[in-house]
Amino acid sequence: MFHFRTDITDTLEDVFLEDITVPKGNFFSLDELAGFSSNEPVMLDHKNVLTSGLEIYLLAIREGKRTIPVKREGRFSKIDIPNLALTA
Amino acid sequence: MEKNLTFILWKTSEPGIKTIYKMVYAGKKVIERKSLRYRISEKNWDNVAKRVTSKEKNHVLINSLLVSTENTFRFENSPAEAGSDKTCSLFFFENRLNSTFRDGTTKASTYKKYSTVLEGFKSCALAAFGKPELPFAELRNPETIRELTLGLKKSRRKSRSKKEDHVVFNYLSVFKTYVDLWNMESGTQFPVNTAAFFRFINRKKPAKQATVLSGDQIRMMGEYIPKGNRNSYSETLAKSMFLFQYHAGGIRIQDCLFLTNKMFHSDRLTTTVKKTGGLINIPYCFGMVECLRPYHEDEYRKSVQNVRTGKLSLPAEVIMTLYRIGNFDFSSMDYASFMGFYNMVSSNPKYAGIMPALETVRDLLEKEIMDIFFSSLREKPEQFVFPQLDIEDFKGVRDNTAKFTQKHEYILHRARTRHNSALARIGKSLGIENLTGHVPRHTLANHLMSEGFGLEKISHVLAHAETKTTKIYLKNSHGYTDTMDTLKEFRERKK
Repeated sequence: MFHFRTDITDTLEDVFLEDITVPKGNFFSLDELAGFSSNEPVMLDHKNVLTSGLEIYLLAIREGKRTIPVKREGRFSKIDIPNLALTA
Repeated sequence: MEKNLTFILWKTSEPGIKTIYKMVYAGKKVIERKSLRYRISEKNWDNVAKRVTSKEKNHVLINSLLVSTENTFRFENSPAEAGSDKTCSLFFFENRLNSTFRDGTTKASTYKKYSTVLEGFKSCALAAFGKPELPFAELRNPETIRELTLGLKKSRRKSRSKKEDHVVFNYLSVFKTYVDLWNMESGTQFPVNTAAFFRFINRKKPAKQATVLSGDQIRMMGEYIPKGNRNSYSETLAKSMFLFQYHAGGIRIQDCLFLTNKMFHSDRLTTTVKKTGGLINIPYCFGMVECLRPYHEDEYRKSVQNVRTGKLSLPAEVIMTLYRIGNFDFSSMDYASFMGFYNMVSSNPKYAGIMPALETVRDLLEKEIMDIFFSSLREKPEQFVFPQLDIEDFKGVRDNTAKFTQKHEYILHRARTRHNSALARIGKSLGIENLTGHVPRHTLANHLMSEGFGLEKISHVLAHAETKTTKIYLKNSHGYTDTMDTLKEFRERKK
């Protein structure tokens, strides 16, 4: 019997901030973050490592939130790369 | 035709008083006649010996001048005499010293020191042998060396205190250099054994540790505020220069005095090492800014005004920590307000967890300030960064100490003396003995050693020409040897 995991999904789920791992090597200024706004969701990979939306994550910490809505990416999720080279 | 020298008396306006003249003649023809500028009573002149008698007030001085003039003449006019061991070694010393000073191979400061040494030998020879002469042949006699050594120990100062053995050793070392030179150049088959010069000196003395400051004492120096107004400026300047030397790779005080603002490049300080030649590059640290701040207040203010925490590019991990701290708006903080917050937090062990992030912010703020400060410092008209010397006084000569005149040497000597006196006062207030302009070098060398840096690397930092000099700093002055590392490792393994 096969059992399919349901971790490849487009739905948002709330995750505790402290369960999210932040990758190293990302730099921002406080001024830059103060004026930041975006509707894009925070993205996590299958190991709970943040892959996108770091600014939203940081602002959530500033606001003292405990959880944050995230979109999860599985190991075999489709990778969407805009076909700019061919359309140009 | 052979030239001869004699001394004659020449009339003056005063009856019975004559001036001594030197006269050079060949046959009956007078070639040169020159006043020696000594006026004596005619009746005190021995016309046969061509010397003044002991009744004349300055007879010792005048006669020694006459001997010296004769020696110079003999040396210059009979080249064969230079190779003879009957030549006066003191005259050879004097002649060589003067000629090297004239051609610029001996610096004014060295000339002055060596002249003092020469005078010491002359008065010593005069006292011991009755004349200011010391033929090379005499130097082979151990009794002569013994007399010289004992004579040199007697100080010519008013106090009549004895010279210490190491001072006599230095006198003999200088003399040895010239005797070795004569051994080499004269072509003599029986050179003087100069190693025997030191046999009557006991150089062994208990090892004395050079002063080295601990990390806490360096901090104490940084926080030192001079008491009263009288010496406030000189002590602040001495403190700033002392700490700057420590932060800037232990550069020598002479190099520190000659630092100009044009030596401060975008990412490093490049300065010449006057003693050994060559260049040394020193990376910046914020301590250097703090030391220069009192003398470049406008540049400092400009750099601090332009830096704010909100503008810094910070790692996400650091921002996470800053956002966790409530009640403080970091984005509008300048350096002073951030450091106020930093100092408040760092004194409380409860907040140890957030310190690494705060340290990162502090370092980035300081880096920004350094960038602006050093670049605006560089843009100023050329000047010495520490106001001990005036750049106009050293125009055209400051890159080459060999070009220094006695006036330059005097100005430099006064600056050093001022600096060391101010440091001595600071040392007295802080309870640190023997605080001098050389202590930063010893301190840095020992701090590097205790952090595990090797001899070779320390030697490069201190710009020593040879590692054996560094060994003197570490081993001879502080007892550092490989045994330190070996024993440390041994104890670690035993645990």
